[in-house]
Amino acid sequence: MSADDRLQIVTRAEPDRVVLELHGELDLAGAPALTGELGRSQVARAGAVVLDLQNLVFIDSSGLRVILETHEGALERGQYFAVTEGSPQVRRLLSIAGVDGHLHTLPSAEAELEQNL
Amino acid sequence: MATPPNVRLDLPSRPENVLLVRESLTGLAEAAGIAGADLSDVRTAATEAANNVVLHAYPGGEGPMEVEIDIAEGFLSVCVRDHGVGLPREAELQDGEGIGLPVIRALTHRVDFMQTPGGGAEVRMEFATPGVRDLPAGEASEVDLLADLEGGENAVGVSIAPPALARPVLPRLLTVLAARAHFSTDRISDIVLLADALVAQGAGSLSGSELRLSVSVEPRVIGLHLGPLRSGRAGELLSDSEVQGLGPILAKLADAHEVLARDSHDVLTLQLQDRR
Repeated sequence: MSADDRLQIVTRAEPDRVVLELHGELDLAGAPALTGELGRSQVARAGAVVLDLQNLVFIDSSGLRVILETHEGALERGQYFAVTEGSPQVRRLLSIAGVDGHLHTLPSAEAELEQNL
Repeated sequence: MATPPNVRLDLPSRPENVLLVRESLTGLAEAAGIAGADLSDVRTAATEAANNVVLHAYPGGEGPMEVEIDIAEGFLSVCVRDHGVGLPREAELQDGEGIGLPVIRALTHRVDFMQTPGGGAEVRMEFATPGVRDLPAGEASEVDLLADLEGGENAVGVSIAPPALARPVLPRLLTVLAARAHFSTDRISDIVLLADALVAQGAGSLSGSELRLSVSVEPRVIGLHLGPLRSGRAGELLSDSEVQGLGPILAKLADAHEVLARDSHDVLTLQLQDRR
């Protein structure tokens, strides 16, 4: 966690997926850290990536942009990509931006991947 | 005399400073009884407006970002101003980013995009907060003694009116800045204690009814300039700042202090270092 960007990322490799747990606030200051973590080979080469937003209390459009770019990159690579539901603020921003229906959304990071494919 | 906003921030247009806007809003909203989804919407929209300055106002560089927050007559208003390339900011948002402007429009009761006199852009947002109590207005100080103080390129300016509103706002801002300066948890607690003492003791020493601080942040060092104070009051503030039976807390917590006498007023300078 950097000095005051309020974002913490915990990456967890599981047998069928890599989960990135986001804690805190994903904003313009924190977005580069998430981009960097998503670009690591462990994540980029995984068959499935789940971005766990359940502990993310705030997101802005720069954070949303990272998620959308990751979604598009995953589509191009044939990689499964999903998010979990975040706080009310996170859900509201996704809804206003009109992207909530375009992302695979899991009830939890441990949920079966296939059910939303 | 002009009525100042409840909170004004003068910030370098950097990504990490947008958090200071959100923290100020949270503190002020707390004082006014705004919470939940209403506060969340204000924080989101203000963040987008500030992001826009950071990303677009000063191509290839940075410059001043001014944020004014007011709560009055059933509305919370946030004005985000820059002195950069100017409008069309709206077109930039639509063409360049595509998300920020629709978010601002969706979350505000009213939003206006204007040219800043002398160059730059201004986004004025209003949020309806029916039933929320008005915050009292302050009275601007007649003199600005902090503008020409050496604060460094990281300096953050904070003005709060009336000073009592500093109680929910200032500790939040100083906590963020102390973390940025890589202070230990204990030293962050110290700076919160110092903020409480400034709020409790400083109001009676101010010239006018607006608390003005300039905060400079360097690795492991924070400098605070408080002023204008009434002549002779900076020294009294240092010696009288009693909190929770701990003695003159400002002098104890600061590693160095200085009183500058200027134009028949005082400026109190405090320097705090991380002590690890």
